[in-house]
Amino acid sequence: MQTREIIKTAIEEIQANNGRTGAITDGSQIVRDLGFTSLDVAELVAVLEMELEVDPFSNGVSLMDVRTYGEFCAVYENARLKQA
Amino acid sequence: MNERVVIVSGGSRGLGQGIVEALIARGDRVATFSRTRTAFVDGLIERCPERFYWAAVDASDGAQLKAFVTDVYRRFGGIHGLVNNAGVSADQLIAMTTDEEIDRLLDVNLKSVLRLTRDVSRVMMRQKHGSIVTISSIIGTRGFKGAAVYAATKAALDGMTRSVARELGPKAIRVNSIAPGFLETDMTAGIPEAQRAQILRRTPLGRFGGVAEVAALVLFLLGDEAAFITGQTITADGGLTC
Repeated sequence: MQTREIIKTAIEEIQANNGRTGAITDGSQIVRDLGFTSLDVAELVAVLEMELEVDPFSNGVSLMDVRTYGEFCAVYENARLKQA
Repeated sequence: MNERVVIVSGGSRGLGQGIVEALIARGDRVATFSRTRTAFVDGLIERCPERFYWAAVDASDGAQLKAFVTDVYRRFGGIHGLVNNAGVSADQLIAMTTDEEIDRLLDVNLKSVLRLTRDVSRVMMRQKHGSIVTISSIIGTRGFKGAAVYAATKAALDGMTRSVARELGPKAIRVNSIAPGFLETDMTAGIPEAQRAQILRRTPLGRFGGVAEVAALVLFLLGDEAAFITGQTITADGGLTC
């Protein structure tokens, strides 16, 4: 599965656990549009660390600079490229 | 029996050994680490190879801690409990305490607990359940001569416990600490006789605690019997601080 699909699946699982639904596009803001709390974002990062075996936010990337699904994907794609 | 996976830091001797023994006796799968392997560890590896895992880890090394958590998760498929037990003590007046001693106690007693709790909480968040029990001390709440740095680290652990409980409660993860009084362990074996007598005089139950008594409290807080308890520090000190 590609990075973007893994991230989308992880977001959808957390949405479902919280009883939420909503279309995910590159411009979707994780907090404002998808209804994530700060704890949900932390869970997303934890899930992605296990799925993708990388945590860009422990290696210099600021979570404050990443707001949308598209930006999340770009950060993880870059981190995986650096790791490869 | 509900078989859990529990990480116990510093489970090769002293209180940690007692906690590991109690968890194994309950039927849990237990992972522990310490800097050096002991005869107790050798015995469990031989007796319970499927349910016991030990690794050599320096608690002050964050990378080693993270690798241990990942290893345990992959080996057992989950982490249901964490017991932050590893710690070191020092008997030194603050005026005579070196920078190296301050750093050593902060590294092992505080920083390693924060890192281990962070790494395990990430697994527990995904599972949507878990229980974290941290061993602090009555020395974190009452003053004891010669224990300034140790007291600072233990008080900090109680503060961490309350904040992390608030953070992780919505994910059904409970976080508590235990503040033991003086126990019959290697750590208290060096207490001078006069000071020991004074402690006993001030303890309503008139004795030092047993490792098994604190281990029983750890098991209670890890289990469903304590399902509505989080963010608390439970004191077990024979009444010394009452």
